[in-house]
Amino acid sequence: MSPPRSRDDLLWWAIAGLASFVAILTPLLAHQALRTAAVLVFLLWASGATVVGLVPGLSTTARAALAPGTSVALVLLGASLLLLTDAWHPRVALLVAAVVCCLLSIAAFASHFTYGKLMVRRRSC
Amino acid sequence: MSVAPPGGREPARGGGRAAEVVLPLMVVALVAWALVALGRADEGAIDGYGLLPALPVALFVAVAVAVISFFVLLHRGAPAALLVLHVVAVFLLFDAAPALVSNEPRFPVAWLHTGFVDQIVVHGTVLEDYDARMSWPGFFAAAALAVSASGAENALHLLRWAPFVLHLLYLAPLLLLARALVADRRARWTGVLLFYLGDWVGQTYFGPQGLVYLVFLTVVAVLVSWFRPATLRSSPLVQVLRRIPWREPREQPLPLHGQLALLGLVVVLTLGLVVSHQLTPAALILQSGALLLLGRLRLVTYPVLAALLMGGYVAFGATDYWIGHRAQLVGSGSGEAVAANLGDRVMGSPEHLEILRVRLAVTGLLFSVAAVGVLRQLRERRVSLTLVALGIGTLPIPLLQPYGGEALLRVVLYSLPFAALLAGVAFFGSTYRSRQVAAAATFCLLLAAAFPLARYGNESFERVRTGEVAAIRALYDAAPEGSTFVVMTSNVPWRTERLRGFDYVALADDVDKSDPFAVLDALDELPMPVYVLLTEGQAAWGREVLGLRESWLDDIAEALHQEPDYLRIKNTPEARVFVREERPLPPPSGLVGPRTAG
Repeated sequence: MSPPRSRDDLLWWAIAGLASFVAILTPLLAHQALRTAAVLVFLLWASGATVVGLVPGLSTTARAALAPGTSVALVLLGASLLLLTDAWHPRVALLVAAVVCCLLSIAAFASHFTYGKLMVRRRSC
Repeated sequence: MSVAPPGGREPARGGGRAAEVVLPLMVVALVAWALVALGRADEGAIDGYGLLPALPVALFVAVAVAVISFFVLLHRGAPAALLVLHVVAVFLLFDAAPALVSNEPRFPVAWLHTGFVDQIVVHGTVLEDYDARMSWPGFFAAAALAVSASGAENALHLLRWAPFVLHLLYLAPLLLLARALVADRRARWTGVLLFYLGDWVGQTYFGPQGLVYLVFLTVVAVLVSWFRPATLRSSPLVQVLRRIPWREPREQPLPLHGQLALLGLVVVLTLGLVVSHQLTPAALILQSGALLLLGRLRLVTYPVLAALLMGGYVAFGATDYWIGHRAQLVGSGSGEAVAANLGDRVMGSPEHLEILRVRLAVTGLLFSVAAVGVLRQLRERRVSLTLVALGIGTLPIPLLQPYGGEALLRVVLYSLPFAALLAGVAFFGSTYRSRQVAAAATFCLLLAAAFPLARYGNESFERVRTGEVAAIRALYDAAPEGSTFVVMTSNVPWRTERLRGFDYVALADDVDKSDPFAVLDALDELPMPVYVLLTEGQAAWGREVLGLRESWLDDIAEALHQEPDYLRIKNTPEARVFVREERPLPPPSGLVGPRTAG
């Protein structure tokens, strides 16, 4: 995973991580509309945003263009696999996917600071 | 006259800053006004011309101002965010129109899809041998996942705003495509707006096609943005192609490991398509094949890979489908396909025929202007072979299979983004004059004026009435499992639950519905208990599409009422229900009143 180097990158990972975190909390949300919104934002954007964020060299504009389609493709494929393998546990699947995306976002976000420290050390050497 | 910038934004001209504030604010205010007016519109005004008579003047004013403001800002070189705001305003207004005018979400097919989703939510499986769509369960499984994970009761709440959400999602890959393929900024943005104004095909609803179209756009955007060669690749047509003066924006640079990652992404996207839709992977294979043929694809193995994935899934994952539909899969004669796609569809009432003519005119006009765009590129020696390949790539689809009479519609759908971009090119050449903006704005206003009729002209039989929903809910509550539900035409918001619990029968096309006794004879052959559901939507379908007389459904209702075997258990202006059982029984609880006279 290449470290985020610009403010856009940091913002990208922060939003993707937040959306994934909210998806993890879905069962705790009180209102049905909020639960639906949290799930849809994750399924239609955040999962794909995490994946395209991992592709090296893409601009933020390009990521923004690819994130919804990637998200949808992942959900179509993942949900079909759950069905075809007789493993239909949608809540567990969503939880696992959201946790993975959230952890990846946190790792990418944190690597920005690790990368910054490395650069400072190199310069001081 | 000024030379157009190669793609970047021009600095704002005199007064530009004020215009960039005032015009968007005015558009936002007008959109808000139009949405309020739509909420107050009279649903009952919908007639043979569809939604048009019910639409308030505010909608047309807001759309017109948004289109004019869009072109003023485009002329002044306004930032992309403002142009996006205008494009979104236009499709929001059109998508919100039926959502706010009607009490119930529109389109019976979308309601049926909630039944497929319900099957997965409740049982965790798809039904075998039930419906061809179940063989491509991706969309239904994804929707079931969303419903289950959010704890919702069913998917009905997703129906109303699905068109707007889908159009919103299309915008991002569409902009990427436009940026990759069209150098001129004005042509690019005009093309994007034209896509939304030309999309009357009506696949943006709660269904597989609407969602997988997003994936389709994304795959094509990746292929043309990062896997397009700088020069013509060797292809069987390369000697011919070398004589064409082509020129395209360069692909975006990406390091090798980034390209490999994108390659993996393309495979995942294609797999997502393959498990979710029957036709879209074929369209993608055809378009990528066309790119390859014209030497505009670096990923030479992609069409073969996509074909293998699709073939593999059909062979092993969709056996239920191909065992029963072998003849359709291997195709049909072109005459049959054209008859199913055009001849059989251009029929019905005078109003319906007018709507069909408007649709043909809109499509013909847009694609003709796209052809002018190609000619302009030829004259200016900068033909975009990629756009041409993508615009014509899916033309063979109707020759391969009629797709239930919808293949031509799908060709329009798959070609539309590229035709729209070429149409944008038709207005803006290598030199720039302000009258080009005026011409483009006029053309867009013309399409916007035709849009309500072209897109929502069928609303009399595509809308869902509250009385119809109430009758079907009462049926579900009251009818014993195993009953037969019968309708005259299939545009009914039923099958939203318990798909296997009942036999759902739409009388066959060969039953003469203008003859009530022929209908009674057909009903006699069905196993009891039989619940006959007659709705206003069916009456409208018969009038508008089948060209039946005004009273055709009333005549059937009267004939059923006169039959001693049938008991009328519901009688409202929007729905009537008759039941025939082994022996006369009192009406089931939950349904309205005993048999009434007249």
